Amino acid sequence: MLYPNILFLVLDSLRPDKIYGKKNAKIPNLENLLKKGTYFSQAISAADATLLSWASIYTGKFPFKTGIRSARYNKLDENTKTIFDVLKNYNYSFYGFLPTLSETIGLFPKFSNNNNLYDFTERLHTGLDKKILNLINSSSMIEPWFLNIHLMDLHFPLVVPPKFDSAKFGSSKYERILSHIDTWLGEILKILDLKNLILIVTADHGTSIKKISVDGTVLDFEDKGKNEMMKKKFTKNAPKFLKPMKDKIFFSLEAKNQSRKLKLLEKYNLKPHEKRALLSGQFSIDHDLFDEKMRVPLLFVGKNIENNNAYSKQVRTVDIVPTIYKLLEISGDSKLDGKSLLPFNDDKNSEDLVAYMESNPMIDKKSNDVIGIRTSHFKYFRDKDSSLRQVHLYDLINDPYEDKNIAPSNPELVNEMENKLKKIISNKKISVTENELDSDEIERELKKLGYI
Amino acid sequence: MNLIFITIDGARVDRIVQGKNYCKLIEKSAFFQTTITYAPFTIAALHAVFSGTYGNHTGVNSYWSTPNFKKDKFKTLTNYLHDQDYFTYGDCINKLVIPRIGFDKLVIHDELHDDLISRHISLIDKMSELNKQDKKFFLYLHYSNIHTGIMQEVLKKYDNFSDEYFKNKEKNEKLYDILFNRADDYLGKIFNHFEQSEISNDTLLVVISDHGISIGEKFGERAYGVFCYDYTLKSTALFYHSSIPIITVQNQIRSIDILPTILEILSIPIDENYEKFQGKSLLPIIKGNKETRIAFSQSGNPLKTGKPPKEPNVNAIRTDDWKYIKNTHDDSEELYNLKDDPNEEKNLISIKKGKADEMRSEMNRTLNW
Repeated sequence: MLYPNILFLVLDSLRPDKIYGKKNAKIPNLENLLKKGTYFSQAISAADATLLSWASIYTGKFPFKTGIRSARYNKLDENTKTIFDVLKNYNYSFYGFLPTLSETIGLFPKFSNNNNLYDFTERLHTGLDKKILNLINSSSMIEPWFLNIHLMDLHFPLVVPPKFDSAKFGSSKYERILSHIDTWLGEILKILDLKNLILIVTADHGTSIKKISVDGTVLDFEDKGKNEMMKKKFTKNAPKFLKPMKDKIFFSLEAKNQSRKLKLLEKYNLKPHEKRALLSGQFSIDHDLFDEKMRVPLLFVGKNIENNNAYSKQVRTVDIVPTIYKLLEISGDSKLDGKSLLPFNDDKNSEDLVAYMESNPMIDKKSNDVIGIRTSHFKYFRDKDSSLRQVHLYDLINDPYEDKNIAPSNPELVNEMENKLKKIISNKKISVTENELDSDEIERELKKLGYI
Repeated sequence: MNLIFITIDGARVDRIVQGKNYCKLIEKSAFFQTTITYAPFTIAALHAVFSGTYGNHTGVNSYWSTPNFKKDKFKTLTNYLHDQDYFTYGDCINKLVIPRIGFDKLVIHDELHDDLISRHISLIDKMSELNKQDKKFFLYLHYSNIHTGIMQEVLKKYDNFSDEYFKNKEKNEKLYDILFNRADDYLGKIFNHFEQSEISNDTLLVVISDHGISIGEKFGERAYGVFCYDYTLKSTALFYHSSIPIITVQNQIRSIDILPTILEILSIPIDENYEKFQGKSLLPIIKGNKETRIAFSQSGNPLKTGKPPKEPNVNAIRTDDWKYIKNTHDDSEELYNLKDDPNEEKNLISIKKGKADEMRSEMNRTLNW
């Protein structure tokens, strides 16, 4: 039996509210796909940033069970199977387009196309679109294939292609870029045969959109994409010994920027989530797990997938891999945290799929990280090491924008959520498999133990 | 006979002998109340326990030296059991603290989040299942939550010279007691479960503490791993099985004696292909022999650097009555009469010269072994 091809499209930082319901971006192709497939509008990512989210998506396990912690320190645990390990047994060939850094964590297979890695500053309009189209057009991919595409276009820094930089493509940079992605998607959909394809469109995490309208005034804190891109390219090429200085400059500029913004916002009566969005930044050490970062779209289209279904029950990105196994009717790793979403339905009476979430630690600075869970009714998160610090609880039904932390007035509910969280994080097993410990690793372990 | 070996990391002797659940177990066991650890920090302490030999010989004599363990020269407890076809499973706090060699599976728990009681009970159940299929097992369980609390509330908040810490001994004691009582509760629950299980008849239970912990006794050491004073050097060892005589031994023994004792109880012969242990079986003492042993210890004083040194810089020799300390970082010496001065406050080095000479040469003998 020949298995269907799979196109796994991860649009970094894509928010579900931007493609479904009331929207400003011009996205006819995505709208068309929504009609042709099954869409989950309430999908929750396991992490607020790419690496840990990937770790969970491609293994079907919660990030802390995979061994991957950050780009610099840890790789995939050798006993953890990915979807690639499983599909290899069914003769899949792998093709991919991923930003650099992806190769450091041991998660991805050897892709058959040599140009699978692209610089993290590259965008569709700077040439990536053609690379992908060329591969699909070339008919060189050996069936069944799995094409893994990760696009950074909606990720900071936001650069709008000139042709799309007008109000008809959306009111923010973010929306205009999304309109461009949609056009590109239209191009590749012309070539692909949906009858023998499973197309999955999702995101690794959401993002804050730093442009809002308050009482008729537009507050626009979106980044100056081109300048930021130049900065990134420049600092990437700077010698290593300048890195500490570079970091210092970045963090101090960011701090100045934040206080300038705070001052500007003083005269507006902003709700907490609006303030949060406008002030969100790449360099904040205080991490959170609010919905704007955790909710992602999840769309299945193609072979054996029903048309025109949109479901609002809570699902998780950790469920994607088991769902694919079920769609292919193959057996994967049996010890997954995710559950197959088949048969697709919106049965809200069935037990909630509790979503586990964690913030991604910063690489060069110690960040205040959090872990938590989300049910369809409540969101709970707290300091990753202590259930007494940074405790947050939100009633998502009555307060969907998470403006009011109700933890202080609901100690019993906090306890209940903490117990659910504990149940998930307890008994994680990390096997000791390394042959030799190098001095960096010893130092890290001693730090963990509190000795240095 | 199977083996379950539990380390209660950082349990102080003065609390152990008053612990509700500890006492219940002590009443049924051979208990060594004065077990002197080789090192007052887990990494070197447990490598010495697992190899029956001091760290200056095995290579693990500092926080940094786990990879230096001479596994070709020193056969570990795990290796002995593995060679006897035991299934060997460890659940540990960190990958540095015990030699990995010989473990079929060595798993690191998350000391901050894992529920060690249910985790370890379920491991005992798993071993019990295995045992039903006629497979012998060695289960190593590390109780890490005293360390966890000390790490969060002491190591991360104070340094070895924080006035705020040393002026609040009462507060430090309260914290320690909370942490110890949880450890005692853990031990009670694990022991109850063990006793009710089918494996208890054919399983040797060994419970040790690897070192003590300061509650602010000496300025310059907020927790452990700095000096070689008794509040960290004194640990304990307990052996429980229906065939082992019940006894509480006050005389001093050493943590390096634990491995030869276990091997003798399990009737496992010494492997002549490896170096001889420095430790000696405690079975003669358990059977009533009045014997005491001289103990050697080493520590690494980080001084003002904030990082433990790569080599030990404090050496100590201890008998039941005396302790001699040589601080190689500044060449100073200390001598204490432990019977008259258990808190080690009066340095007799310039008064008791004869005793100092005797202890000094004992130390040289051990260092040159």
